[in-house]
Amino acid sequence: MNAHDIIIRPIITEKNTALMEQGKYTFEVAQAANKPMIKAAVEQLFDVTVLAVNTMNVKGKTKVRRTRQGFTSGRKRSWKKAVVTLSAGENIDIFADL
Amino acid sequence: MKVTTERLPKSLIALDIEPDAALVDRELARAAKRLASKVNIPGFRPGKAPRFIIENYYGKEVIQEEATDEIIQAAFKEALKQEDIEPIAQATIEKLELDPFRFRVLVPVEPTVTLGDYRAIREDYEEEEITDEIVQEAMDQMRDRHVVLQELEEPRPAQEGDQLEVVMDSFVDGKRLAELEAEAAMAEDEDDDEDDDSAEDTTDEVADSTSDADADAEESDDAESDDADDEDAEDAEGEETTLILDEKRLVPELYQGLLGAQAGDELSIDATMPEDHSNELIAGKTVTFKVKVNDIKQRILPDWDELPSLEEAEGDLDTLRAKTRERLERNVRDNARRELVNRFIERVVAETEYDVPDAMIRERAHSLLHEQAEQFARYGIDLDRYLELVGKTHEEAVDELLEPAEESLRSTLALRQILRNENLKLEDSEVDEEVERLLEDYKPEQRAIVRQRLEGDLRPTVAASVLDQKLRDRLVEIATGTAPELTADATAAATDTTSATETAE
Repeated sequence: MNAHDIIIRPIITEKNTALMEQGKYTFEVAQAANKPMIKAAVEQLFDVTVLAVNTMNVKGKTKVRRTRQGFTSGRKRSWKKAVVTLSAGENIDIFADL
Repeated sequence: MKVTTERLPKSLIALDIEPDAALVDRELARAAKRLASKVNIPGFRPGKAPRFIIENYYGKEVIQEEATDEIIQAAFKEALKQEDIEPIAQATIEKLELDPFRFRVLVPVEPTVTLGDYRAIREDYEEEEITDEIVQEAMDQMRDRHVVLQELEEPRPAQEGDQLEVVMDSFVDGKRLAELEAEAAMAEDEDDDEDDDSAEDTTDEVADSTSDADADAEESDDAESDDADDEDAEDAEGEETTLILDEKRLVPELYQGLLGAQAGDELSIDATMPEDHSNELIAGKTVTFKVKVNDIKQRILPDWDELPSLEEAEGDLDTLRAKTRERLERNVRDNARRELVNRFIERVVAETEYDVPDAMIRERAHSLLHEQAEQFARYGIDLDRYLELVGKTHEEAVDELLEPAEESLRSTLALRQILRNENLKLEDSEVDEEVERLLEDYKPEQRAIVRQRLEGDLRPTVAASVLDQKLRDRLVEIATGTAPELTADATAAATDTTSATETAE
């Protein structure tokens, strides 16, 4: 798997922009990727030093929809989130580099 | 902040302003905040997105655009303060660069008004003398207002002072006057479309005066001139009108011819019009009047000692006469002064050099338009409706007023400058006096309310009119060569009064 396949996209939300101030960047990553792979991929893509990687699996929410035939239920896709902590003073331009 | 100024002609100052980076940045941040609350960015609650997110989402330009107005406002205000410039009209932005933020504005400032040697201008003060005859005439008019018309009990020939109801038509050289006038009016229209006033000026006054009866005649004349063409020229039908058998009001031949006429008579009277008659179609010509007398009424004038106007003169005819004379003299004096001042201002304006910014003229034109609109508003036509009626846009209407606006500005500016030069000042006590004087015209029970207004929101207006009066008095003094010499002290102080006069205006 190459780095681009591991790091799928940055997650830009209110919460995550607040975390960026602490040098923590959040990405959606491939579900098959593990922490060492993510670390290597981030270091390679953004040319930074990664101190820590925290990952979690985000379960897709079940969505219930009313149709003529009654209720149909489905599930949004599940994905893997990784919060990457960089060494102090380093940063990533999340808009430029992906 | 870096500001460079450059003086341009027409009383414009060009300001090149480069606001401090801190100011720009602060405004950009504020603009981003404003934008954030307006736009919806997924992942963020409204108003919570940080600036760099918005910049990436919508582009830097959007924020800059949003911030530009504010930056310019703030920087412009600061620059004016820094350079001590007082704009007198809307400034215009000439150039704008965003990175680094720099702009150039053209600020119209108080125009330089270079007066000619207005103190050397002399105009003659011409006052018409009030003779006993003029007073008598005014008295007669006063009496005339209370005339009572009475049907004749028994038919009799018309006498001096009677009112005749007639159908009258006038012919010059065998042609009906109404037709000649219609032709003349048409020729006039073709010559010059704009000048339709003059056509009305030449509308006849058949009888040689300005009495009400004549005014009626003119009106019906206008109304009938249209179908006059279809009629036979020899037809005796003319317009109905009333004539008062009075030597002073009718041309002599007409007067003589009608004297002794009976109701039902049809007369043809030739009369030679005076050379200086206001209607040039008939001036100096022989006019044939075809008159059919329909009715004769006796005019009963009230006795002098029963005149209702006597009430205001404590019932005394001599007092009334004196009051009338006083009123006439005051009118004549006011008129003479007004004309003198107008002539004076005209010459001052002609001798003054101006440097008036276009924006100032435009602003004046704008206010002129709105003054006009206010007049129409009385008839229930608002500005938009009015513009629609004349088929012009707001811009066009303002454009058309540029010329009168410039003229009126010129005299205002010249007068303002004179006011400064002459160092005319206004004391509070003078305004108080004027307020008291104005109050005299009101009924005692109204005075309290009026006083409140005059001493409150209307006080500046009163002050302005007092100052205006002072200025006019001084102009008359200058024109007649009786003005006091200006002291050097006064000229030096002239600059100080600038602010005072401006508040008065």
